[in-house]
Amino acid sequence: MPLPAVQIQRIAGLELNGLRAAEVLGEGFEGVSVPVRGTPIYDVNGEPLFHRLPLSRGRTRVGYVDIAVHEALGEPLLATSIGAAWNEQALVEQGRANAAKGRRGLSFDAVRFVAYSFPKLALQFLKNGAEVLMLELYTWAEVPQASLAGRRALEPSNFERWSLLDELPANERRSRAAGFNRRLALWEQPSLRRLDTTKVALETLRVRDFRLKLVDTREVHYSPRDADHVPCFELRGQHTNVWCVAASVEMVLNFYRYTYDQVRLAQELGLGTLANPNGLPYSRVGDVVTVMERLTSNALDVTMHVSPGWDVFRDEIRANRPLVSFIPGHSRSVAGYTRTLIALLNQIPFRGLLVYDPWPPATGVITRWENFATHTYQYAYSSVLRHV
Amino acid sequence: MTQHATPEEGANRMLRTARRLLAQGDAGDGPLQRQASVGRPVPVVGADGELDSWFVPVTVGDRLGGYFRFTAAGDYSSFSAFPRRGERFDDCPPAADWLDAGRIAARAEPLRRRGETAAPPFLSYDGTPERLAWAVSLTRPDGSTRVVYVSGTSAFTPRQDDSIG
Repeated sequence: MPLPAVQIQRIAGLELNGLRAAEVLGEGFEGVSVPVRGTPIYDVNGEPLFHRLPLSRGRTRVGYVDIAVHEALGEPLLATSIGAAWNEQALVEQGRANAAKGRRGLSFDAVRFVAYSFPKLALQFLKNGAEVLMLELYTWAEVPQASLAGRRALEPSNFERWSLLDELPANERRSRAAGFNRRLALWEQPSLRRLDTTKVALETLRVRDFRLKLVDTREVHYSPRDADHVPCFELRGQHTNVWCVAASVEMVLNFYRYTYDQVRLAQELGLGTLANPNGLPYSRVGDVVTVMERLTSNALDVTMHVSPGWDVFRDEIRANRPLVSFIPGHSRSVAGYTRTLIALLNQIPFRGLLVYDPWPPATGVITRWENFATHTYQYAYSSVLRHV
Repeated sequence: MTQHATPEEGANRMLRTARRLLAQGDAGDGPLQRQASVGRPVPVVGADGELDSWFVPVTVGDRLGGYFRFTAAGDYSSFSAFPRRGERFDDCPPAADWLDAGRIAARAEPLRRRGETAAPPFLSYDGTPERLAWAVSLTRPDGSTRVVYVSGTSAFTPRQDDSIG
């Protein structure tokens, strides 16, 4: 069912104010106005996809925001920009002028904007509802007719028209629709009904005491219960410049109330002595598993993960279990994570780990948060308490 | 003391970002917000001489409460805090251990062999950028060089193998 223009404006205002409150959007967005009317953009198959609303400050157009009206796009906010002003009327005039060039007999009675290769846009010229010409926006090159021959769905060539809605797999469409409707429901909260969403301001959602969950954060506590409020993990500095593995293992064992000092752990892990220490060779990374299990009389069931992904860390922390984590040449413990739940299209949400790093020697340091995207995680060791 | 000059504008931008993150509580906790000072950015230089990142110290009195890391381009990367008890910072390392070139050079002195001359220390890392350490380049009489590291109170020669340590 098509969304009325005022609802599109309201969704745009809420989305932008939410991002502004989270400071995902910078000061360039402060005070900009969100209009009622935007430009409808259609899929190649003729269904409305999204509206592009011009953003302005006073009488000056300063940018735009794209708001989905089709649930297959997954979330209402598609993109926003300050600096690239949107002027529908000027573009249509340019399109008409370019359409007339070399096409003397061209006759049309309607013009509309089409995402001919989402998100690339074109102007479609229609006569009695049927297309007579399609020109790519800005280049004004004629967009050829569609052809699925010789290619798989969602793998179009560089300058080819294709329908996002027709080519999106059914399961993907269902999943996106669910996300889209969840998002719309969020903005239906009664506390937001009287909010002025025609302007973007840092304080709009903050002063309404609206709690938009912007991040998912968790760190190891006394138990997995959400009510526990005291983090329960202790940092140990490595006793020598090559005992990071011993210190990392010590931290995790301490969490489970096993007290082994680094001298003993070094002995078990084959890391030498305080006077003559050595690191853990890569050929013996599996020793962490056997040593931790042996020192806990198999109360801990330890698993080594090779090239652990984000989910390994997140799932373990959610289960209230710290990990030992190897990066190239170094070992630390991980006892928490954070990730942003809100991001613009084409932006990767931030994901970070709470790292208890035994380096520098003797003190160690707690890093909150280490950007997961910028590090190489070689091995991780998770441990599950099987019996006491 | 440093090999790379600090472009003033970039340094000031990092300082402003660090102070804002601290003030907003996005980095550090209440006691740090109330008591800490943010120091000038120090370049972290790899063994190959390339700028790796920036170290921005956060001090409370004569203690180093933590530090920010910024990328080589000057973008915020992470905040690290030293462990302590509550409002007390005396468990944190002395700031001079990390910021006083004279003290750092003195820590490296026992590793200097007869005939070697020591260059001024520069902030670097041992193997991986997470293992921050000051590097001191020692030149032998025949002109060859080797590097030793100082990380807090620990002075050491780099390990020769590719183990995890």
